[in-house]
Amino acid sequence: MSNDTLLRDIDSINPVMPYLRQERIPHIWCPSCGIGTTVNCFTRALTESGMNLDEIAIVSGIGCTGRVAGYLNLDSFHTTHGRAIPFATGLKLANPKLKVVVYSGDGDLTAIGGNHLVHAARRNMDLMVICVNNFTYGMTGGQVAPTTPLGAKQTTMPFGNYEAPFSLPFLADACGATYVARWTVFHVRQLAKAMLEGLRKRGFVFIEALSPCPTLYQRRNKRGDGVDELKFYKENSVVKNGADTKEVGLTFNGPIVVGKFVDRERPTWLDAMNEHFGKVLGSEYTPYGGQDG
Amino acid sequence: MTKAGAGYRIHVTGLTHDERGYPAMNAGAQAKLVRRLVGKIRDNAEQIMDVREDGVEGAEIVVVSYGITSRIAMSAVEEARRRGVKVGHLRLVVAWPFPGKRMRELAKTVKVFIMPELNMGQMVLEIERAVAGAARVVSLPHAGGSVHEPETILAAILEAGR
Repeated sequence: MSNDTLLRDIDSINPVMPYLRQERIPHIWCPSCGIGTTVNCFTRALTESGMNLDEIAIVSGIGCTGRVAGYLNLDSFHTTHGRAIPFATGLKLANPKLKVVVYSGDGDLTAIGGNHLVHAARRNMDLMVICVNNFTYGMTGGQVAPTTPLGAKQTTMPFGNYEAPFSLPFLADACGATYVARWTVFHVRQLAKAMLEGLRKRGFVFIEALSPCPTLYQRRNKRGDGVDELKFYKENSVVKNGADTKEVGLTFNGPIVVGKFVDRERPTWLDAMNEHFGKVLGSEYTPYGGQDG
Repeated sequence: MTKAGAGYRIHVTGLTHDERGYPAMNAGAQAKLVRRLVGKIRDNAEQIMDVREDGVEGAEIVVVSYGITSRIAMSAVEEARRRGVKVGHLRLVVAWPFPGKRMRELAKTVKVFIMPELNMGQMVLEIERAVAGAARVVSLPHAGGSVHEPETILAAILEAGR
């Protein structure tokens, strides 16, 4: 009997497995990379949300994090570089019933797709954006990114970065996002909770997840491997929910302010359009998208 | 193709992909994909092509144009006709696929093709390739900053008619 129980335990599946396209495994991510951890958090958030997975679409751009869409067993779109947000905007507007999640990296979302990011936030497009920030371009060999802290070495900044980086929560906040949070892949429960809140929020949601890139960023900067970086996150993170996003900029070796910084209400783009045309055109106008707008 | 939200759990990628839509970054998958995409154009070229012909039958001179240049070509052709020159106008509404077969047919009777275009001469090479010396091909390039003057095209028509 006891042997049977043991076998049944071995047969049991990892709770994340049903969310993954098994035929796509193994994934391309390096050992101790943090992207997989964020995916794990995301699947926990999906489970908790109780949402119909057929009505959730995931859109990625290009890069290591861009591969997330290819592994998740959802309607998934691996778009061209920087274009995840405009693609997702089209998807959402074509079918407002969908919950559309954009899942991509800092380079894709804030450099190549930076303009799309700021305007989708400004319009309060009803999208949840998960930005895995590893401070570098991992897939292409560790070039300097808009998020690279001052002083950090990159292949294109061999003597250390001298370009001032973006502070992504400040950027998203300033552009009008309704929900802004930052966690690291050390904070798995908090990150999963933020993703759950993001799934339930209407409007433009921006979640930054700091993640090690052991192959490039860690190695070039002599920061050890992914586990060493998790220890760094653990020892240097300061939780400040509701912090002023002006105060949460990152430095190379300084403290990391994490938390939920912004949670507010603004009319989504579709709400604003429906309200405006309702006022201007009156009964001639049929609102688009219903409650899902 | 299914839509997002239909429950199919479709995957779409912008990368080279296999039949399932998954990235497949190798020469074999690339060859298969590119051949299929190119085949879609080649096999449907007749349906995609849109060529508007105006008085080309029996004309010895034909102006070939596409894009904004077509309107200027039109007025030059009309003015040349008023002056008694038998000139046709062939307008490519769709620039590609190029109607090479039609050009070859016309080259049996047309003596000169005139190609005004807003670049230093690109599409003219396609005409030259299609007619393969069976007719004279005159390039009327324009570096941009403005469009052609009708007089420039008219002068080329009159010159060809001499």
